[in-house]
Amino acid sequence: MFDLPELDDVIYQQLRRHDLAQCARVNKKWNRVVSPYLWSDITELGFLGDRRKNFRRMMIIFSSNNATSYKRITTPWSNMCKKDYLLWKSTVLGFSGYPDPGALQSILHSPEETGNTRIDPTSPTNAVHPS
Amino acid sequence: MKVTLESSDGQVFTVDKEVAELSVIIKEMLVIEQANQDHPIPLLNVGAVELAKVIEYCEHHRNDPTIDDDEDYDSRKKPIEMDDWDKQFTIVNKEMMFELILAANSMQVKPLLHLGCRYAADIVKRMSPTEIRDLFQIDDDFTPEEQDKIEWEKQWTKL
Repeated sequence: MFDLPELDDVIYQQLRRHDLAQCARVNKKWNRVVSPYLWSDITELGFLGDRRKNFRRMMIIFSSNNATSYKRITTPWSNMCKKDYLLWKSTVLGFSGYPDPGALQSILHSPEETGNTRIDPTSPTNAVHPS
Repeated sequence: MKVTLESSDGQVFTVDKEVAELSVIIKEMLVIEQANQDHPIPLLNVGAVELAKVIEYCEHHRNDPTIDDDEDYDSRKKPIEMDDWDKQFTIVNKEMMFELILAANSMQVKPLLHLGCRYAADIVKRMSPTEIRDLFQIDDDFTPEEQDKIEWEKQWTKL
């Protein structure tokens, strides 16, 4: 039954992320089948909370062909806080770049920044590129 | 109108046409072989025990609205619902349910197929990878490097 590809959609779409993660750890074959369901919509990740909207917008820009420079990405949302950007960068690049979830957690749980912290693309300390 | 079905082990079942037509395959066969309905329809991949259960399911759901479009079964948009009868129906051992899913897939009885898939999903819910391996007799073939990657991904699912 779990060997019938035509049933994959029906079975795996009913599993929550935690259960999908467990299935992905069974063996190579299960991992290959389950991974698309596990990571199909990373904007569903609970930890995004109220940052989901910004995150989604950044995802759209990141996946567009114009997202070739840090400046282009940040210009449309100059009022976006740095925390959101770092969260997005860690998450998106994480699937190939292996960021440290602990570091991400520390970013998420750091004291709220007051107002809108702007990312200055000319500042060397903020010169993080999306690729 | 009655239709005769023959299981892979030669047992013959006579059912109402509207019951048999819950199977997409049988419905199509009835259209193609309209002039030859006196002969039993052979179901080469379905044994008598499973066919009896499939017929039992179809008898109960014979008046349900038919759903032809796969989109309507997208479980993300519309979760698969079970009434009390369905819950009773699925109280069988795992092997029997897996055989029923294969029968439903072979006969294309979509509501039963999706009910079975929900049952299958419920089985692996809250199971550890080791428990799933034991249940389905699967070997762990990850290399240490792949294991590291999997462990890393696991952390993300906890966030």
